[in-house]
Amino acid sequence: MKIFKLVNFELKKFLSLKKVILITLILILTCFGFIKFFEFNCNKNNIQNYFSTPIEELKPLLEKYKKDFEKERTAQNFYILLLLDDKISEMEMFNGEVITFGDWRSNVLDIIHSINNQEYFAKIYLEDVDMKDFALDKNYENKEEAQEDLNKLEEDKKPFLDIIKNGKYYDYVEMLLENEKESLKSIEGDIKLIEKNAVLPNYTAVSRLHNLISEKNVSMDKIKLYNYAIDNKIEDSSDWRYKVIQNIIFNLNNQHKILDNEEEFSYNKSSTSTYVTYENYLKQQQSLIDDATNKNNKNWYYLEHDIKPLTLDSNTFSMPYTTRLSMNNVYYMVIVSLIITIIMCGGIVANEHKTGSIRLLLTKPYKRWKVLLSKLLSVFTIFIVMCAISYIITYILSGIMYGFGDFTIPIVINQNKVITDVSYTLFTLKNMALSIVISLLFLSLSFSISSITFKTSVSISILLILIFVLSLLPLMLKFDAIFTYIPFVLINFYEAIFPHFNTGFSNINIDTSIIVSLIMMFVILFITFIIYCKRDIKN
Amino acid sequence: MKEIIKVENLKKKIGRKVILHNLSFSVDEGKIVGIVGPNGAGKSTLIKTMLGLYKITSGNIYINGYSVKNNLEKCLNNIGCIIENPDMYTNLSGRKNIELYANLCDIYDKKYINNIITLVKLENRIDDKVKTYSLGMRQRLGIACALVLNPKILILDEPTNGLDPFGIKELRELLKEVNEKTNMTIIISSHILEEMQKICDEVILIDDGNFVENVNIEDMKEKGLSLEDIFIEKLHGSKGQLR
Repeated sequence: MKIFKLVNFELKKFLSLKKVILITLILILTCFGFIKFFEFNCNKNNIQNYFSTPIEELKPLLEKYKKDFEKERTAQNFYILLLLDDKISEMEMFNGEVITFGDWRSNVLDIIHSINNQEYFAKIYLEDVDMKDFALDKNYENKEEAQEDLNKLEEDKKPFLDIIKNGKYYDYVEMLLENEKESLKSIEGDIKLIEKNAVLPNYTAVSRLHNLISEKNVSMDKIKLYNYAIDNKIEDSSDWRYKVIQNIIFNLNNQHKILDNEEEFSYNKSSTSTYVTYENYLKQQQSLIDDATNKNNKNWYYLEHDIKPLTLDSNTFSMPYTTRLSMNNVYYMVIVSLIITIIMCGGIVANEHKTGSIRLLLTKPYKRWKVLLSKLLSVFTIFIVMCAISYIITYILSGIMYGFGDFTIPIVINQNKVITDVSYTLFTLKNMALSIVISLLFLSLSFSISSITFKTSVSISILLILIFVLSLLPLMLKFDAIFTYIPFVLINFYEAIFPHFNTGFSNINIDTSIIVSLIMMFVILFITFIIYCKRDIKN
Repeated sequence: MKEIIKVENLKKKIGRKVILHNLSFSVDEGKIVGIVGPNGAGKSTLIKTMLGLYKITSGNIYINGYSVKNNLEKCLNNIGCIIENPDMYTNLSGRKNIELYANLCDIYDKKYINNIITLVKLENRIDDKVKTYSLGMRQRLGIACALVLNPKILILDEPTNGLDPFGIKELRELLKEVNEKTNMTIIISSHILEEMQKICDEVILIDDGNFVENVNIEDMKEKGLSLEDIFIEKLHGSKGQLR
């Protein structure tokens, strides 16, 4: 009970109304800043538009290029004219609607553009222009052949144009499905051919076989995915499942081909020189593939269990920003609270020694260790209250801006390669608690330095430098398992909560690390208390 | 009369230097006792050791029967103190400072606190911030903080440091008044002999960490001596240069 009286004394002494208002204001501003930052981060991929120049500016440009072309009938000028003409008619087709990269129609546009490009060569050949400095990709024998090619390309383009005008996403997917089935047939044919003909296993045959098998797997995954989109009649990009599907395709397309043998690795050394040794290269590639597989397992979990994801592990397709996402990032506020607490409370012991007021306190009928403990507990209390306030502020602020979202949707996590879903509120609270426990280690260290050296500036500067350096550490080096026993690196809450193979945080056993950090904290504090209680209070 | 403070063979070492050598004396209840000695005699060290701020090297101090070494908490229960300049929390008001310490010792009675404030004559400025106070006012506030806990012993280390003659007079009157009203034992350390002669009932003379003499002021005055005479006479051997 006595200790509570002392804590009460410390808090009353320390916190004035002015200070409380100031800190709350700082917290509100930082919370707002973080929310806006994460919103920007989340949406920045969707901000890029497919059409960047307004149509009103393009039309006069077209006139100018027409005149240029009349003056000088070069292939170059004609090419620009065709490109611009197509762009304008395309924009008219969308009637002012802005197509973003996240829109499924942008994928169809990409196909149309590639066909357009081939048409330009035929058109240039037919137009009788000056071919100086311009090479055609195709060599036509005569005009009839070029015209024939052009007609064929027009035919090829037609279904895509129809889909983009009237179609739905699953119409487009249906088309992709047919293509994928065709390519799967040819892959299977190739595999059989190699298996039949490769009497002696040689490098080329084996490696080709490997590649074909991985292509086959990718193809089969895609077929499964397209069937899902068709069965569920996903109509357009506003459906969250569209984004998950695109994300899976993105990961599938990005699975790097592994070079199977050292000879081939040395041959490709120029492009793989970053890996130095073949073992390293293999390890790196395997972890890339594992990562992609893990991500896709998670994505499939969303689709199969019909759970709308909070965020997607992708740089290209992101979910719209929500209050839930704000709450997911709330532990960033823990580090802000930590820094404020260290600056504010760094002198809680040292300052009293500087001014001498400690003498008055220590001559009150309380044990010295209780006085010190009460100071420590006050620091912890201030910090934890600050975290709680940040949590509430973030919820209210983003609730006002993005609506008080649905917190009943669970969050999907990857735990030791097993994908499960957990309650969202529990998840954020757990992360918050984890971040707070790690922060207590830093606060204890700051407190100990302050209590032993009696110098506020020393304690604040050491801790701030430590936090700064440790936050940059994951960018500079890859962590090994040994870092489990150096728990200071856990200040990178994000990596601690979402261990990522790139920074090597997946090598660190977080649970053990937390226990080590708690033990470390008690040892540091114990030593400080012993030293503090034994010493003479000279000032 | 009851012995309220008893110092037994007290020895204090700081680093390798011995500051107090086997110091022994006792103080009776209800008296105003001065601790007098030249600069560096160990007055401050003695007082800080009494209050538990310094750890005892050997020997012991008993306050109201409790050992400082083993039962510091109970000893401090009986003590109010000011060490050198009273360092209050200057960002808070005088009242807040007093209340903080009072609450710490379970005293919540506002009327009682107000009485103490009136006693030290701070009622006009008590709600101002301490940083606007003069040294004399801070001294009085320090005494209020010490008195509010209603201790049996009041310990003041160099309380007149930095005070003007008027402030010193005020302090003296205040201490006399407190002593008369509550029979509180008051221990004052100082090197201003004239002042000590005016205020104390008894003076303990120490030099170089050794106990020299216990002077009863009334007896001394009867003999027609002054404290200065005794001080110089007793310390002549070692500190002849004082003359």
